[in-house]
Amino acid sequence: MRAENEARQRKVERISGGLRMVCKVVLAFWGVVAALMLWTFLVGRGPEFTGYNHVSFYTGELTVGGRLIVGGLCLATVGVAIKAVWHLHQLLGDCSRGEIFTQDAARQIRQWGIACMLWGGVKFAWVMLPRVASGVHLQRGQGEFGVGLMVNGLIIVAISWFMEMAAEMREEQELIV
Amino acid sequence: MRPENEARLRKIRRISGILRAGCKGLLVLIVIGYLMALVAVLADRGGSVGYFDLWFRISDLTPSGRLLVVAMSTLTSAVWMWCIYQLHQLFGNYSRGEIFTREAVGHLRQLGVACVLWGVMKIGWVGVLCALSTRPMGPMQVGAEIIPIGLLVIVAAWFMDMAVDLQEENELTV
Repeated sequence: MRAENEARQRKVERISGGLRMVCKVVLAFWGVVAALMLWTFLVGRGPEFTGYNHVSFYTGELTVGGRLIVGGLCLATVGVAIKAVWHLHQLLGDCSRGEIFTQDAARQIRQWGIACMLWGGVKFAWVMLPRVASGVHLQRGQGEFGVGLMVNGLIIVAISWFMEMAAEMREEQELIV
Repeated sequence: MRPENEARLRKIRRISGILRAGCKGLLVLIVIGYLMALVAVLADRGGSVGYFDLWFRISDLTPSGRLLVVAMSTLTSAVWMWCIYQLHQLFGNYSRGEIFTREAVGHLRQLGVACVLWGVMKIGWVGVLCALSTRPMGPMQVGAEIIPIGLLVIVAAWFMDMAVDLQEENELTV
């Protein structure tokens, strides 16, 4: 490999390694958030908790059923965030090994796109929450339905599908050569 | 080329052709929407205009407020068109079987930039709402997840660009 290419490869490895570290920190952060949320919903009587997407509630005012619903949605939100960051972490792992145009990298991009779509779904669920759980209020202004995120996720999934097909074709051709 | 690969390539061409047609339809819709908003604001026959679920009653707007809304509408429509145009071009590359090429990666990067600008416009509209509102506004939440998504697309495209460099040089060496 030429010297410039080696330097490029090292740069890719260094930067993706750094970004992977950031992903690890973000994953740890979301883990702590999930633990705090569980504690809040199981035993908390705390003050107003501002939810997500313009939704707010007092934890102490929620019924047992309400706590279960809101807690479940909070965990789903954290779960989707963790999924998105995890696939990004894996994608950066592929990049750090120089495996950028591979089937695995394309699959990680697709999973990331799916996480974006799920995030849109979670946003929609938050807006719908006041209708199913008493004591939960939609703040002034409207919540967003998350359609834009779903469309974005869908585009990312479509792009990754093309990439996966191309990577599959290339890998097959390389085997023939 | 093996028959399975030829079939795959045909599939890629067919689907990207359909998605390109979808992009063209979206571009037409954006232009129509923009013209409708423009006529509504300038003609001042009542009604409301809205972007990103933020609505403005036209009769409540002052002349300078109207100008601001028109300017923001123009910018927002331009960003949307830029975003869809990049997607259209990207699918054009795919339909020619050019998936891991510098041009395709360039469109992907531009798409990421357009996503970031999309998020910035969303925040901008909240600013316009605060500026034009006659009543005092409290703190507002803005869902701008599209900005980090755009930034990540830019980073992914940057890695791909590097990979294209490496790939082209390797091909030349062989």
